[in-house]
Amino acid sequence: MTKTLQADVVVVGSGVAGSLVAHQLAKSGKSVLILEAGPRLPRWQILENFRNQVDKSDNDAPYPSSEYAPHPQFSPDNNYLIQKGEHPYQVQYLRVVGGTTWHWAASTWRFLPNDFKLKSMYGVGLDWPIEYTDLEPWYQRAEEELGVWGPADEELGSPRSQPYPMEPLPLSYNEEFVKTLLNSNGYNVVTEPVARNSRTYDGRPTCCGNNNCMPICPIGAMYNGVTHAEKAERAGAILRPESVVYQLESGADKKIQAALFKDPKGNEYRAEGKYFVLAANGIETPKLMLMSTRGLTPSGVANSSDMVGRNLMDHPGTAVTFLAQEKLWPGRGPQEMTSLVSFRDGEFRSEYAAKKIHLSNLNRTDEVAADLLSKGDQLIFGGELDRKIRDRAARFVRFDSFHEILPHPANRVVPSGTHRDALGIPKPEFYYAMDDYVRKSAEHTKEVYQDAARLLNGSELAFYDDFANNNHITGTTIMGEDPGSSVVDSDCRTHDHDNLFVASSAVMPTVGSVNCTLTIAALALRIADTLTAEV
Amino acid sequence: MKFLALLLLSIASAFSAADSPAEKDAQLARGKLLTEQGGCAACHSPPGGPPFSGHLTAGWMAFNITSDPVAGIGDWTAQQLVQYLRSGHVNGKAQAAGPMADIISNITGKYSEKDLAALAAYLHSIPPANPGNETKSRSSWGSPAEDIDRIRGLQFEGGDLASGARLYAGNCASCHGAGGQGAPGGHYPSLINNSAVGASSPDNLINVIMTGVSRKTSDGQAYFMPAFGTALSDGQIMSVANYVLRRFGQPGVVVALKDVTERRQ
Repeated sequence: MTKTLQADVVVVGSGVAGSLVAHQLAKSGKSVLILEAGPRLPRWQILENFRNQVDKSDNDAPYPSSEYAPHPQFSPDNNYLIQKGEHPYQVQYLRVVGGTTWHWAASTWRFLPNDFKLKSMYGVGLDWPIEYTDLEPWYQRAEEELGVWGPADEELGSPRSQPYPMEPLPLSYNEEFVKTLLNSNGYNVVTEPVARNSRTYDGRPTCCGNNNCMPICPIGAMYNGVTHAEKAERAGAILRPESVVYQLESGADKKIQAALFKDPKGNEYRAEGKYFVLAANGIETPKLMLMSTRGLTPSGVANSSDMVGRNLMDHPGTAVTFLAQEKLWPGRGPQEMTSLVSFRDGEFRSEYAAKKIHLSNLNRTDEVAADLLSKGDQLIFGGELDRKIRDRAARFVRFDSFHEILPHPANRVVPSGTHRDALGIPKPEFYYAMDDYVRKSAEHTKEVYQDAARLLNGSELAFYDDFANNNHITGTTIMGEDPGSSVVDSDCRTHDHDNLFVASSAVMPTVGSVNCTLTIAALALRIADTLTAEV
Repeated sequence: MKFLALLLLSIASAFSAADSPAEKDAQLARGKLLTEQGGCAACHSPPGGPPFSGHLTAGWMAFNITSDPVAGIGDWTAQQLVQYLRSGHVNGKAQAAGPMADIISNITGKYSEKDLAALAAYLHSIPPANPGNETKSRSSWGSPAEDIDRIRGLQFEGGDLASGARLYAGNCASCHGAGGQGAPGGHYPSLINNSAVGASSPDNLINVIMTGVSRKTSDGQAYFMPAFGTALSDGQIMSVANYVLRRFGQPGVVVALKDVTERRQ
């Protein structure tokens, strides 16, 4: 017989979104069940995995994918993502307790007011059904929950009601040098707000510059979603790892009645609740909704608009690397501390994509060494090799960028009809293409890269025009006023089922030009307030 | 001019060192008064035993602070005592945690330099006592560990069966160093020559692993170690504590599972 569990609120996913909702609700006395598909991994074991892996640039390697709840891995490729579109959506995410913020840059930007009204301001994309000012109080609370440092003396374009919880740590020499140089040449480079401790905060220590934020902060100075997963548990929530939800069951009253899930052996369980919150990221969430075709929802739950899984977005990225003339010594402090924000907003957005450009502060010793050792015809050894590694690692510069792709219904994720995982659950299948809005912006980005290289007297320029994924999965359960063209309303409640909420970047109608985690956290706290009053 | 400066300097140092008998007496009297006002004996003096010779209070070992050079603080310089009472942090000697961290954050850390010197002078005047017949000072144990080279790259099974060396590498080494020497400059303390680790009782070590350290100095400097009581199981805490004792403390001191389990309750 299927075992049945019950709670006031069933949360699917234990990442930053689900854990924030669960923590708030558990604190207010609700019974909360968190179903996490993946296993619980202790920080020290993740760190051990990282230390033991040969390729330090593989951010997924310390988090081995499980058979029963796979997540994408690329070296070697575990073929979890099924690519059918003209541009592969090579996304990274984790299915473990705590979610994908185990490895992230910790960038916690607010969106700009105009990011919420792209359509009315610039005639492209969509408007959100809420404005920046509607979300501002929750942005503030999210910054306090996560522990964010940000510059008190710099204008970031997102008006604040309160100061940042923490002052930034001093910039590394690399970041300070490049920031000063670019700002004296007409650009606007600012200190980036990040969820990383510059002082003891919330029982976590101060950043001491291990410089491996990705794939794992060894001391927990950087915020990870597991912080709130554990807080939720301490507040009374039940967190069940290794519980893979595969079906949502809708009743005759159009309320969701149960989430059906499997353990790693395939045993089936049933979780019943008054409310359900889907917080399994922008891929697994719509996949689950589209898989839930039994009974009264033959086209999937919350999918009367046919928009579930559509409007898939990310921040297509390009990059440049070169050697600066001067030694800048990247690698001291966190991996990223500043951003070039000159092109986040402006009239140009009617023509081409907004973007954020950021300097890497990653130590490049291994990359530079591997490159020198690959030159089979001109190998150098001993002291000469050491000297060259030092010199090139000290002068290595890399800029990356996030371009704002527009929401296109044709860009989508669906449960694969042909490929299944070990539990028999469909793998995610992608149909994705770049748009000219991004391509045109990327041409301008390249000009900025060239100018930065010129200012730094750079040599050996290499461009990466591959529109790489930046894992900011957005759009797949889009928010809107019209139930005919959107999946959730302005409260993140699905139009079709009034006890079903989505806590995820999936609800975002536009992707903006900055990392989306703070917006996820703000929306999650807002959902928690709605549910606290209603449950 | 140079002569005058030297003269003034020598007068000043003579004053702070309290060289004259009368000044010495006044300083000791002041130190004694501060000791009484601070309630040091409540924790550090065993009932019926030699004053200040150490006592287990509320699960924490309030160490022997008599002038005994082996069991007490007789081998600390006055400057080290002052630094400890001000910041709770003397690399190569001791770091304050638990109730003593609160004492430093709230009481002695706010004392004037003169009062700290008086307190240090008084502690040095307490008659030596070594009731436990200690043969080696608690801050003189340990040597750098080299296990990281032995375990690097190996594949292991099962988290709860992890060896102390693995747990140390994953939980402690990022701050205290793979070899246990602490951070360069000593903000994250060395575990070698560390009172909590080298003591004959493992109580403070277990407490610190489980509950962490949190201390503030009057100049706003924060000393912090996260608690590992949630992240690690009782068995893992036992394993890592025994590893730390074996490498950096007294190898003869061993933590049993019940030492951790009882403390959790």
